[in-house]
Amino acid sequence: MKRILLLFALFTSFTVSVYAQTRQISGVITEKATKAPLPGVSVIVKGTKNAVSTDEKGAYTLAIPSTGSTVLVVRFVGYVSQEITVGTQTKINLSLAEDVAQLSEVVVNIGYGTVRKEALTGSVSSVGAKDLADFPVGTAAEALAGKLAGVSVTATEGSPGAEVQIKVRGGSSLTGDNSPLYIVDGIQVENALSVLSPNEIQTIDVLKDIASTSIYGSRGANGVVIITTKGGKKGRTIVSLESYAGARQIVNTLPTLNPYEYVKYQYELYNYNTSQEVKDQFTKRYGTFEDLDIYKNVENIDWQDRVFGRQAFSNTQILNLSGGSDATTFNFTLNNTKEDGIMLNSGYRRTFASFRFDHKISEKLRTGINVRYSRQRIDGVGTSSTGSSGANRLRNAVRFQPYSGGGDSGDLFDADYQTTALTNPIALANNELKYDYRNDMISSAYLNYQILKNLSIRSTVGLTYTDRKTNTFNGAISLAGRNNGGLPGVILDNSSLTALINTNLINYKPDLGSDHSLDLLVGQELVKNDITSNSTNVKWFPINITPSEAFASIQKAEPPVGSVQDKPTSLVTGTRQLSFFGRASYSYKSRYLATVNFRRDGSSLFAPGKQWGNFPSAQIAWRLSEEDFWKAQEISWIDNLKVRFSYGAAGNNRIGQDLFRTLFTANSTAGGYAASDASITTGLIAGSVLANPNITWETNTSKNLGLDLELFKNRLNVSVDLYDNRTKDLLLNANIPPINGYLTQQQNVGRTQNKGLEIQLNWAAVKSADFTYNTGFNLSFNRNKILELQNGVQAYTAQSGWVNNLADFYIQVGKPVGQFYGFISDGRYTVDDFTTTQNTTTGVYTYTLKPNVPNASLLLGNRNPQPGDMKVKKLSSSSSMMISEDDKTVLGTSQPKFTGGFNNQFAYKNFDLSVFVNFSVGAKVYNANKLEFTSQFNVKDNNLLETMANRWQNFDANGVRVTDPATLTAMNANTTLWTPSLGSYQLTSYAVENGSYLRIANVTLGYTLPEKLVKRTGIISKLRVYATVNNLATITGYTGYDPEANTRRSNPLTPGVDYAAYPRSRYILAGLNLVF
Amino acid sequence: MKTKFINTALLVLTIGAITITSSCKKVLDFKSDSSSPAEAVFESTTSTNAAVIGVYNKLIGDNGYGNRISSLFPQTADDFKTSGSYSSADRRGISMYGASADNSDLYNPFVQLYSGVERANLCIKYIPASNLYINGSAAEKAMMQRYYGEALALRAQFLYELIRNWGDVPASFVPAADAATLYGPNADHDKTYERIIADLKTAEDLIPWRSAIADYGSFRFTKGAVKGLRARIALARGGYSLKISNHTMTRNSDYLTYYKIAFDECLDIMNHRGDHTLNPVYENVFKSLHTISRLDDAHELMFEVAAYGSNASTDSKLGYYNGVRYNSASSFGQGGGGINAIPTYFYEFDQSKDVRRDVTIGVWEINANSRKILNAASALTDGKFRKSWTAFNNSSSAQTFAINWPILRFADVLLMYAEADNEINNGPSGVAQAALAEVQRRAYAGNETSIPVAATSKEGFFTAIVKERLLEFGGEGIRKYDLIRWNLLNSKIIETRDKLRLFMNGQGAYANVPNYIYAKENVFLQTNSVAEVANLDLYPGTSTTVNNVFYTPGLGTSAAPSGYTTKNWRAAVTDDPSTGSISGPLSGFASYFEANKKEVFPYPKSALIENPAMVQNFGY
Repeated sequence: MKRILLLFALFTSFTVSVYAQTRQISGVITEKATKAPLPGVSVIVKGTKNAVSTDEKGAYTLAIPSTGSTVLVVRFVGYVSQEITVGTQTKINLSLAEDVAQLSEVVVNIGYGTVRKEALTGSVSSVGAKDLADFPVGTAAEALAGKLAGVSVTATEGSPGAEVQIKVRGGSSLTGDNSPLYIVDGIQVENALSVLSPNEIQTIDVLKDIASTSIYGSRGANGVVIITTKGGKKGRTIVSLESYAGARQIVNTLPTLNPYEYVKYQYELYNYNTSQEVKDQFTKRYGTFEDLDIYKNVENIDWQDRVFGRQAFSNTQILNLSGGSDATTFNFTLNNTKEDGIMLNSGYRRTFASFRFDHKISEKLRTGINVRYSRQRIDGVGTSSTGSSGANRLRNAVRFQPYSGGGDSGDLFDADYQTTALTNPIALANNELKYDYRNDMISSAYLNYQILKNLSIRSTVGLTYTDRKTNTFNGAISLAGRNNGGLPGVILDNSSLTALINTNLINYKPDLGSDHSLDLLVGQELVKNDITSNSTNVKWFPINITPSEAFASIQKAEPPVGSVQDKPTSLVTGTRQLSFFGRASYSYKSRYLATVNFRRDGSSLFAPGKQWGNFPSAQIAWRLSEEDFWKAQEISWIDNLKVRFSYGAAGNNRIGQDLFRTLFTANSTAGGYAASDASITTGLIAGSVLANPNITWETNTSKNLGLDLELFKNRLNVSVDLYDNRTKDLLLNANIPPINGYLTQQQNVGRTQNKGLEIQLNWAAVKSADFTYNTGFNLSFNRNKILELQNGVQAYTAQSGWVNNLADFYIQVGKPVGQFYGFISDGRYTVDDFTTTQNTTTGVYTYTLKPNVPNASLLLGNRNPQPGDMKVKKLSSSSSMMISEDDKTVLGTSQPKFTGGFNNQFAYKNFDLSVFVNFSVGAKVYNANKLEFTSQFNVKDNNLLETMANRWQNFDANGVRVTDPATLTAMNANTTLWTPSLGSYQLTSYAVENGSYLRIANVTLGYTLPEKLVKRTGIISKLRVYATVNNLATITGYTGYDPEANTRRSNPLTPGVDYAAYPRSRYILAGLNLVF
Repeated sequence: MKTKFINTALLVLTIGAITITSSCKKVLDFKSDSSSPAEAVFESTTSTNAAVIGVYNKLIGDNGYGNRISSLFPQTADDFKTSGSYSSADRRGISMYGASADNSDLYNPFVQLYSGVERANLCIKYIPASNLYINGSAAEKAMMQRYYGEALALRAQFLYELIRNWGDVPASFVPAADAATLYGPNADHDKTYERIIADLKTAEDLIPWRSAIADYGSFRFTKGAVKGLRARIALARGGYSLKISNHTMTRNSDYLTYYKIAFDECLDIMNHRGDHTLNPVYENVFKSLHTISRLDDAHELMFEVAAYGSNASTDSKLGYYNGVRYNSASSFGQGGGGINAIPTYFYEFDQSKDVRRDVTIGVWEINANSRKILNAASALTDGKFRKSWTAFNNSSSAQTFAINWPILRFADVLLMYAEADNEINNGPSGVAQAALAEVQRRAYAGNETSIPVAATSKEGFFTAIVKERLLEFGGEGIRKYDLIRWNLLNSKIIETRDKLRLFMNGQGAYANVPNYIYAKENVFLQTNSVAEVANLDLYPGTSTTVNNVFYTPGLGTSAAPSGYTTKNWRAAVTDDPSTGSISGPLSGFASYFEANKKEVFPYPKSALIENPAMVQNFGY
């Protein structure tokens, strides 16, 4: 935009004619709102070619006829032109007001080219540098959250460098990857938002409807995010520096039982229907019941606070250099971030450097080079794992006994691990270390040759090189260490990706007269990805080796007699894709617009004969406001009205390599056998997924109806989009019966639908000299539905896997993906649900469930229910009162009713304030943490959430077991929760919570020092200081750490599970922007 | 200069575009060097061997014979059970015949066994079709035939394991990619048995005897092992099994045909004593499973599942999960204790003459001081697996000790022969009697005169076989399946419960068994098992033969004499309604067993959800 302004200014300043009989008139042109001088403004004598442009100080001097009436025209792009009649003055100062109408003349990247916004025929959401700059966050992804209608940005958990999941219009694939395609300066870059600094981004354009994305054919099915980075500008070299620093702190913790309550709970466990031997164990471990009061004075240790409670400091510096000459421009950015995670031993370090260079070799030949280097290191193992509950680390911080001493002193080795499956969380945090190093080199170069005025060819070559190294140290008390004889081990993983992309384009714009405009594009693209990886798992280091020593000399590991180290492994994979595409855009009198796309993609991921897919699409738009009949109406408050419609298809092939053929790979563990003594022979085995020669492209078709409105002199922009996306031949990693020897097979089965409505409003509400207020609001409604599943299956269950073999998701035709599936909690059994018999000698009552009461023994470890046990509703019509799988039902979905964002930017004199809010309404969250932390599940000596202090009581104040029905009822008159279940975890409606939230994601207050003051320094031209709070507050009824968690994401069928997520933090920081 | 540059650039562009476009097809043809197609694998004997190794892989590991299939599935019979108290979702549910369909200890082995079937099917498809198999040199052909035979034998082993645990399991004999449907229905197990019995016939003709492939040892299938497996499966086909259609234990009328197959196969093996015969020392058979210094020159171990590699896929948890208990603080490190002997099993053996008792039952444990001490009667372990026999004698808590699992040994061949002979001839022939006596003679080494008199009637001889197999194979995962094929599981469970009650009360055969035994820790000799037990320090001290203590009422009080620790003996068995070890729901003996129902496991729920063509076993 600014570049266009400058060009225009340049252009208008060319012609200066001198007349005879003239006199001089001069003056200064300023900006009306800021009173800043405006350079480059054209001052023209009306009706002549006599013109000048203002200099750097906004000053002009112009010769005008000394006689007669002279009218000066003052023009500047982006401002309302003024005419002024010159009288006798020799000095005329003017201030120009910004013209909102012209400013909105935004250029939108539509893939392999740009169009002006009003000529846009597809559905595209854009964010400019200004919206991103206010957010001092580490990666661009975080800054995007809630800003774009139809684009959901979810930070999956709170750990440093945590994955940010971006989905455009709900995502189409069932089990595939739903992340969009990222194009950075024309080059495809995996996961680009996390390797870009927000400051270097000029614009982000998100292509949402398939007709727009289909120019990218395959991989465009999930939306395309086109990122244009800032280039240099002609003029003086501008150096700017931004620096900010702050601290993160955990937002909330989960309250647990205090030491006394904890011990009381243990007493119940050890004494409820147990043998004397078990009862004695309690006394040995905790003391006699009479002594338990001691625990009231024992210091309560909040392990969550010990592990996650620290003030985690972080700081970032960004240096930017840009400038250029007529022929060459450049932009250089250096971004350095160092951040501690709130969890012990976690943190993040990253350095970006990017260099962009554009050069005009001749008027016809342009070239550019863009090199980006990112080096990052993420420390820490985090809390969750894609594995099941055994690998849960968060558990230790919640369930470990809430005091030190006792069975475990917090020393290095936890002797009780075998029985509690818990480890002192601090000891563990110091025992499991992970360093994830990643270097990305993303480079591209283009050559653009303007053969004729309206014919150009462009060739782009991109080379991306990613090098990743993960060093993991598993100490003696880590799960891996315990599995290896209690000795430390390290895992060294290395991988590298080389991606080569070559795109060749021919662009032709035939001259068809002023009413017609035609833009033709044909292109060809080749994408080659090569991935190599290797992994070394070294076990059995000496017990007290330090992590750095272990990494530094893996040869120190010594297998115990009779053991052998795992063989190192290496793997080479890769993909090839070749595409041809074309686009024709036509417009008639700027009123009727049409675009036709066609793309043909071939992929090495499919068998010959199935490799090619064709993806056509078309878009039409009608600008009513350009029609003569409309103009005749003179509806002055509507500046622009456009209706768009598009229909198109795109493909998706995001699957693994070689899934269409049976290949054998060597494997010493999954295929090895000890064919002779004390050795392992490596075997050759087929893959773990059954080959399917018939797989081919998944196709996503979409219809999009859109409306763009610009009102009140362009101060209010409204975009409304209605869409219906359908995906067929879903590339589903479908479950197949295990009797085939495999659990899954990649298949083209099923269909899904996403339909929705998106509304985006931008309003320049107040604009005066001292005060401006801009606000943006967006709202998205998306309804996801499965239309068809494999093999005519109507429904099946899926497992999120946080606990083995728990079918907690229900995949059902006609319903959205991500339905939680479980029992409806019905509170607990009360005494009234039982018939009692009293033993005449002991006086003890036994309880037998009444025959008409549902028997929830399935949830209780197959024991018969007793008063106080968890009860669930019987839903099936079967005559048996035994609760079974048939009594499960759908408990909700993680799909929100609507989501949105509300962005407010205020400026008052030198102060600026922005408040950014995002919200989500109607989603449910599956709080698996709560399930686990309120259950006993076979283990003793585990703590519970504080809510369970309110559980059913079986023991009286003297520690005596009560069985008398009346006493029992009276004792529990004020308790509401059930006895912690000792059965395996089952999902009930208790753990499904409302996940609606409103998050004040970011508040920034800035102050720009008065220019006069700054100028005095002589070197600084702008200085702004600011303070920011990220994740200031979240208004939600959710009881876990954060409703946005999504930890079982390796399987897209199981969204919305909050299990062992790294807790979120609030980030308070202050910083300064400095421009030299 | 500029024009030159432009021209060069354009040239490069044009050439680039032409090259790319012309090699269109080639561009999309990408194959990684990390993997090979079947056509390449099976045209080399080396890689064919590796593919067969990949099939063997599915035998071992936690979900194979490394733990679940060997240590969990065969519980409970009248020999051993799982320690701990009931939960339908884990090992104890399996042991008490009350496993639920979502028990992951059932699901994972189920998946692994079928994965083995598939790997075998790939080999069985590609090996005979390979050029090497058809047109290779004589040596190459012989090798390829042997690999083919092994794949057939392995598939039979996987399917046999599936059938004996689940009944009418689906069975596919082609790779899944070639199968008509992925949703195979239940298949009549008799038909599957017949097919694999035929396959094993093919296999045994292709694989040489052990002595001809020295490097195979007992870790891979040799002819004798294939024949032995064929005999075993024939006896299963000829024995009782749960008929799924009418859920009744049934024996087919053609059973004698299969007894004849077993008879013939066993006889053939018995005629190759140079390849396999009885190891003169019973204990050495099991020690050989543990160490690389093998003590089995007789090659009694005909086929064992080999374990190594310290991981959950190629190693075993034998000796860590099951076997004699070693305290984690001892110099041996943690081991054993997951399987307990039924207390009355101890008394099935001869009081002092049968060497098998002290090998089979871990009557002592190693405590934190690395010394040995008597166990309570409820905590006796399966003594054929001992960490102290391995090379892993250190205090590390590693869970894998590279202990192999015995699938087939020559003693089984002898007893199968004797049983088949008795059945076919309506009474034992001389050879059958000699076969039984041969097994007994080794057991009573040094006390041959005490061997029980052999019965000559059909019933009497059968009863003797039933008893002998209990004594010979305890803890080897054989007993439960024997009882099922004899349709004796229900009656033996009832009989054992009765015996436990008598034991608890000190009645009948257990009249003189002590309520309590008082024990002192003493040195762990690490010699042979009989000597180890004889050396236990039990009250009243060295003046008494240790074996007599087990058969003498003693003091009868729970208070131990000074210096001794009380070990509950008869007192270890209770019949408390909830916690009792006889019929209680928590830790009772086979508490959830129901005849004509629980002889098979429930199919894993996940397997049924994915496959509507499969039907859950009756009663689950």
